[in-house]
Amino acid sequence: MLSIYYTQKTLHMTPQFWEWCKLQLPLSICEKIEKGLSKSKMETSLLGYLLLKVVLAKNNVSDDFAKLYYTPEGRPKIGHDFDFNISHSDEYVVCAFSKDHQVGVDIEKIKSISLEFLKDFFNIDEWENIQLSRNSQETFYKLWTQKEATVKADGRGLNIPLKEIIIQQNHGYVESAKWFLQEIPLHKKYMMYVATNEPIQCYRSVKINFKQTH
Amino acid sequence: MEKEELIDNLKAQIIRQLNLDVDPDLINGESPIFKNSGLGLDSIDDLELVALLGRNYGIKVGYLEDIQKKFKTLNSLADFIIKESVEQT
Repeated sequence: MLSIYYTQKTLHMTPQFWEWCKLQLPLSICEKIEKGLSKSKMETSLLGYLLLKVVLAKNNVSDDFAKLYYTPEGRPKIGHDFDFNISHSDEYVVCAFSKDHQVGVDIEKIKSISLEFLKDFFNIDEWENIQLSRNSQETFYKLWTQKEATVKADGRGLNIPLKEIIIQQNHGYVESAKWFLQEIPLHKKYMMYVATNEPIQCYRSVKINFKQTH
Repeated sequence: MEKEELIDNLKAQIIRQLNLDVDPDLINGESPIFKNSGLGLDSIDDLELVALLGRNYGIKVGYLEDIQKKFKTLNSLADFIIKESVEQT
């Protein structure tokens, strides 16, 4: 079963809530986050770790949070009995979790972007698809999140040249590997895709609320 | 354009274009662009940076993977812009 956990950040965190969140996480993670320069990105990063901790607890693998490590390519990993992947954009932080699949997830807020300089990151068919579509911005974000979810599931991230990730009919191809893509509707202003190593029969979405009452 | 002036311009352009809530005075030439310890730019921000380089400096970046490897700091990004500008003249 694939589960998509998500939380929505609607306000800047109060100092009290920030301190409470930090108490839930290892000191090393808090120190890493607090080296950042952007307050909103620090808050999002903190929420990402907090969401992961909640996800592990809900799936009865909470003790594994201490085993969190990063691969040489920068992908977070924990155990071998499950896989997870985190993504965030603007207000939303999401965590895809599965004990049955390898997963990659990407969410992006759909906002205006200059497409004219981005042609080299897509192959001819994909670029034509973007240019000829009724809503080129939406088509761009669809292809982008599909590619991102695929390379995150693969584990090598942007070390794979984007043009070499082929997206065809809800499948992402990286070298000889085939990944299955599923759109996850969350909000009309956002595009989100999950990539898995096997087809998904069904998935569930779970909203996690962190109330700023602390 | 002097390198220091270029770095100041890049700082302002990146903050504005990517809508970052960052105090410019806290950023210097050695501030990491992509790591969480610095500006913390993510993948879609990479594309905004590519568009910024194309629009403001006439520079084409062909491989997104180059962005995070070559432009670790504002200093390295400024050096790249200066080098590309010399080669184009």
